[in-house]
Amino acid sequence: MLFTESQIESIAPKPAAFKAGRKLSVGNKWLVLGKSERAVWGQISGSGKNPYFTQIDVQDRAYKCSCPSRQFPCKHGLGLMLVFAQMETKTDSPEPEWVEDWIVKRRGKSNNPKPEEERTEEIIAKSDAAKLKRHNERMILVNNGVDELTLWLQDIARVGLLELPNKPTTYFANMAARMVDAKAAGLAGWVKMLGKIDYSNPEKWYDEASEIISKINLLLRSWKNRDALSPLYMQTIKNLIGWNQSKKGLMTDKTATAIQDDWIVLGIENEVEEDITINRTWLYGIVSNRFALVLNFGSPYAPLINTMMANSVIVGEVAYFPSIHEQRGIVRTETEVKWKIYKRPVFHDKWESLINNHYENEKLNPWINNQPYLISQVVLIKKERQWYLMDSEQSVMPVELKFSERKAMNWLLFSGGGRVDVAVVYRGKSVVPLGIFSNDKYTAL
Amino acid sequence: MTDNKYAKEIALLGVDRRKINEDKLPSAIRAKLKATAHLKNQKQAGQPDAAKLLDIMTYHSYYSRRGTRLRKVDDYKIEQIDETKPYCEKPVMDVFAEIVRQDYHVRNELLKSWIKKVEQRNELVTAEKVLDLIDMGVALDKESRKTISKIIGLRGQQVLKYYKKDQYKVINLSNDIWLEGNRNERRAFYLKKRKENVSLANDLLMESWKSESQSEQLAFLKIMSVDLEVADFSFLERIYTSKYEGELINKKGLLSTKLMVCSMLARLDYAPLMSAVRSGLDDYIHQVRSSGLINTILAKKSNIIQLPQTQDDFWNGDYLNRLMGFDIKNMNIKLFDFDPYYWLNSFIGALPFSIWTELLGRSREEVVRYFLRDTAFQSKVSGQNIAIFQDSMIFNAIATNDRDLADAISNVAQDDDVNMLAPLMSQPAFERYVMNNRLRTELSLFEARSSEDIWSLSFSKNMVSELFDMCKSGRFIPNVKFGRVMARYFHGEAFGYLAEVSKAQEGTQWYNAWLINVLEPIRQSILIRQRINTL
Repeated sequence: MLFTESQIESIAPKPAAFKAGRKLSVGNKWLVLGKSERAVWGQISGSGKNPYFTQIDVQDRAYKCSCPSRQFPCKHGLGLMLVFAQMETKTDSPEPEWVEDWIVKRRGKSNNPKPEEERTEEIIAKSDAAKLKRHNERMILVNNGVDELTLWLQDIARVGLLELPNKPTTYFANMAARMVDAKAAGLAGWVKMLGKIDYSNPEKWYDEASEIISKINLLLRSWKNRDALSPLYMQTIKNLIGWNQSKKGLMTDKTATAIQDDWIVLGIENEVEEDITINRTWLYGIVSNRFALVLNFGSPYAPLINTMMANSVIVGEVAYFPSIHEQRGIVRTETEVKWKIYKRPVFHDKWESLINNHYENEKLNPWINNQPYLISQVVLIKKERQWYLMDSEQSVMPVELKFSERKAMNWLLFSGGGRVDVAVVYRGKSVVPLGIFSNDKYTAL
Repeated sequence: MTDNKYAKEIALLGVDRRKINEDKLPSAIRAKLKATAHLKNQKQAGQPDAAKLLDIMTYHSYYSRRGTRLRKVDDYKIEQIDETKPYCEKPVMDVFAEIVRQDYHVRNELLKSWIKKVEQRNELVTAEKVLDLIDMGVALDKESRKTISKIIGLRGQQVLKYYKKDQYKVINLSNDIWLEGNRNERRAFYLKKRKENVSLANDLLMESWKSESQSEQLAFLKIMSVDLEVADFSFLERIYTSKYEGELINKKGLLSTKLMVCSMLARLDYAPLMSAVRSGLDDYIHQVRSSGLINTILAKKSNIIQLPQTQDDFWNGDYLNRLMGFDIKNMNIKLFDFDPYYWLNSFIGALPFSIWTELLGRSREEVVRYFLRDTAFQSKVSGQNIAIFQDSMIFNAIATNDRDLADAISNVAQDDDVNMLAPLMSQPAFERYVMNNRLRTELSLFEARSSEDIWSLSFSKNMVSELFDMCKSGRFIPNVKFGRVMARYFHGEAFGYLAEVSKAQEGTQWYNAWLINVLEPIRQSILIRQRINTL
């Protein structure tokens, strides 16, 4: 068996895609099915005249299908994986030409990256000048945007936060759009968050709004004070403002922190915002005791690609984007995938210890978010319609409201109502449980 | 006002309405403002007071996050649930995964078989599949949901307290329910008690009998009637002798109750009642020469019922009301020309059918044929000949769960009312009924049958060939609903034949519909059924 059903579910771009894939996972729906050591493939009838050719590189976990779907993997890819998930044994067969070509092409690409064109001094100088020009132009735009947002925040402070619940949604949306125009997408995101607060909840909205405004204010002040900041801090601020981090660059950046470890895939979360799907995958290095957050993005024009499966242990190297607090990273190399944990991770034994750890991280990066932690011996309880995680000292931490009921139920089924060691993402006032550790296994919820 | 509240107040009201008084701020924030004052002077533009407030909010937010204390819950008792039964092994769970993948129209029946199998094996569904099973169980019947709540184990039952709890709601049938529960709860409680001990359940019912409403009394008697036992005898006798014996009853509700009691006593062969009934009916049984050429040659004689055309001492409303709880008047003069026929019809509905075979000295099939076909028992309504006792016989078969009677009726008659006997008929009788009356596409007939009533090999083949003929002549289009029915009952060994004849139809206009809606669901269903059987 190549993958389990829950692992396949974890890489489905949408629950509906998995459901559709499940329908196609009946062996007789496939006209052709085959498997070799490095790939599985199949042909399935679609709406067109010719069948779709679906193939999976099982070593690198890459997918290809001739169907026109923009989802990745598409329902045919998921269905094919599910077909093989049920098969105890299926003897290997010779790869057909279309599979062999694809695999050879893939392997060739990754083993022999395209040699860079030779660059003359003239070309380099030209390119540097163009880069500098672009940078200067962007700095002007961002500075203008920062000034505009500063005034906007000051206006809020002048008239008071009590006015916020009366503001129309366009009040926030327009300012967010202005920030996008100013090439400060990070700032736009903070403004959108401010607009999304549930202002009808009198007990919560002030705290949430005040915290977001505080973080924007701190970011704007830091930007204005950037000359006094260290290069690493400056980089962090730029990223928060909206400068992109290049995955391609990080792949070859020899100065970046890179850690070889066995990385447990703690959990995967998809969040859809307008047309963009943000895919977060949290990793934990068993030996290094480090966490990493891998981000992927999908849009109607660029499919979301995530090849990591929850519960798996990836043996490989994770490289971190430079930051004052290294959190976001990429899997630079991967040599093996395991499904068992051989070493007990390091857990916090109570919430107090976890929160103190978070404060230490927050001191480094006051905007830190989506940071995972491990905590031992907690129990899931429900009080007044709210789920909590209770530690060994009876202290309780609320579970984020959007934590699905199904996940809570899975927790109860796996834990039997007792204490378990878990991975959570801490989000300020609440946590999102990711999964449960038991003996040599990790089970994502 | 505390320092913290002050910071919040000015943030809410804004600096236009409240001037910032730094002295009122928490000391830590004051210190921070002082320490960073030079930065503000250099960089700040625009509205200094507003900027200052933003800084205050920033510090305040930072400190208040750190100052937040965790809530403690001291009164929560942790209950670790450990299962004692083993979990299903992979081959069993693989079948479940296969069932999940099927289209809905074949899934539910296969799922029912699978959960029964898991229950028989005394195993539990593995934790990662419990929620899927609970979700799918919502579409199943109450009994299946009950089985599901058993095979998901104690942990699964804990989950049902939060998840899909309305769909899996189990009435806690404690003794209090009998006194305080609603109608459904009390009926469920009585049924549960009957399953434990019929006599004790009836003792309980007897205590409250007089205070029960008429409709409730009838409801409890209906429950009793489904699985009537000898142990019910004393209860029924007591009710009958105390209130109904020899009494003339006019009220409709009370009359229904009396008829029900008498009918059940008759099934238990209650001597005082049945001797009066037998002797009364016996007077009207006469021997006559059998009709038909052979019978005439053999000089065969047979018993028949000869009723008077007018009321007499036995066939009169007053007497039969006192004896059995029948209507005093003929309530259907359109169908029953003579009053005695009306009451004979009531007898046929109320008495165990064996009494007629005994009185007439004929087999069950012969009696059924006699009642349904004899011209004396036919009436013309709107130009059509109607067998006047058919409805009563159907009612009797259903009420007494009499499979032989259902078979015998289905052998003689066919109409929508006889179709109601489909769930009761034996498999050979059902198949004969469908074939003889050309009811192969009558979906409701098939759907009424239990999923265990698998078609015989010959019937499965007959269905295939007949349906193919209908497809060819355009009288039938293979649809999903029909595929569901066939997948549910089709005989496994007939699949080879089905595949073979299907292949021969490749290329026809309706072949794709047949393939998708009929052939594939049957194939999948048979394969899974076989896998379930081998578990």
